[in-house]
Amino acid sequence: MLIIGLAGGRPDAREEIIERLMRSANIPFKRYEDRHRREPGPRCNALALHLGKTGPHAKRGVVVAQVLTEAEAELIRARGGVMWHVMGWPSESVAFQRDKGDQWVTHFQGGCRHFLDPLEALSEALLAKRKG
Amino acid sequence: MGRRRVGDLDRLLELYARWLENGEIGLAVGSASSLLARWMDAKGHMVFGGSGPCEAMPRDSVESRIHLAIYYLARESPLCADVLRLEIDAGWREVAQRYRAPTYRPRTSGQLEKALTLGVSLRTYKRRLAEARDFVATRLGINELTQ
Repeated sequence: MLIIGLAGGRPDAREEIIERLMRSANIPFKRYEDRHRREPGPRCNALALHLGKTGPHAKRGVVVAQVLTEAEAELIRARGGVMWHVMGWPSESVAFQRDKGDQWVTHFQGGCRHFLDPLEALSEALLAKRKG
Repeated sequence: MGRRRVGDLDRLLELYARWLENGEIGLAVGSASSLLARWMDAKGHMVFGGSGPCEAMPRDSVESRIHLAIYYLARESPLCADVLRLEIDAGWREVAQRYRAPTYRPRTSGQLEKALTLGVSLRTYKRRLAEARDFVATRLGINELTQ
């Protein structure tokens, strides 16, 4: 199962990225979003519960629509997922960590400077997952 | 970044893919090998076999020129040649076999799947594809910039 977490950027940019992932990629993605909780602990627990229900060997992916806390980001990375930092206003709570496979992503088709297109970023994530 | 406009090169590559798929690369009756293979076997001398006058005529088509261009491209950059082959669905079976992708199907594969089959990122795939197209266009004498 591939887990992608989105942090930073505008809501419409994140929605566009999610839509492109769900429309274009061969892997079926399910969207996860927690709109009710704000505290790191409860958000992380809810995310862990959701990912636990899916199982690590599922053939589909999960895209977390908005990662608001560093704890959620660490959980995603620990489960073999990747964090995508969306072009625009950077997240104030989730730091970019290149050594852990984080990517800069934009909703613009074809990418923009060092920001990757969603499918380009997805290919990087799948290749990294293949290499283990 | 907008989509690339379909130009002359795309139409020629489409013709080439159909030509290759139809198995028209043999020149003489009874010969099952490609023009290139027969040329290599004859060490650079064109040898045309066959029994009738029509089979003795060489067919220098744009498709065979593209076939040669891709051969020379493969010598310089095998990845570029494979990217082009997958992109235009010409000779994809050999590429899939070489990369141990028995489940690869051109109809259900977009550029992302093709890039993953070759073990490269989508960005690399697109760059190599642009290089391959440029190489073939130059060989054919088509200026892509004017399209």
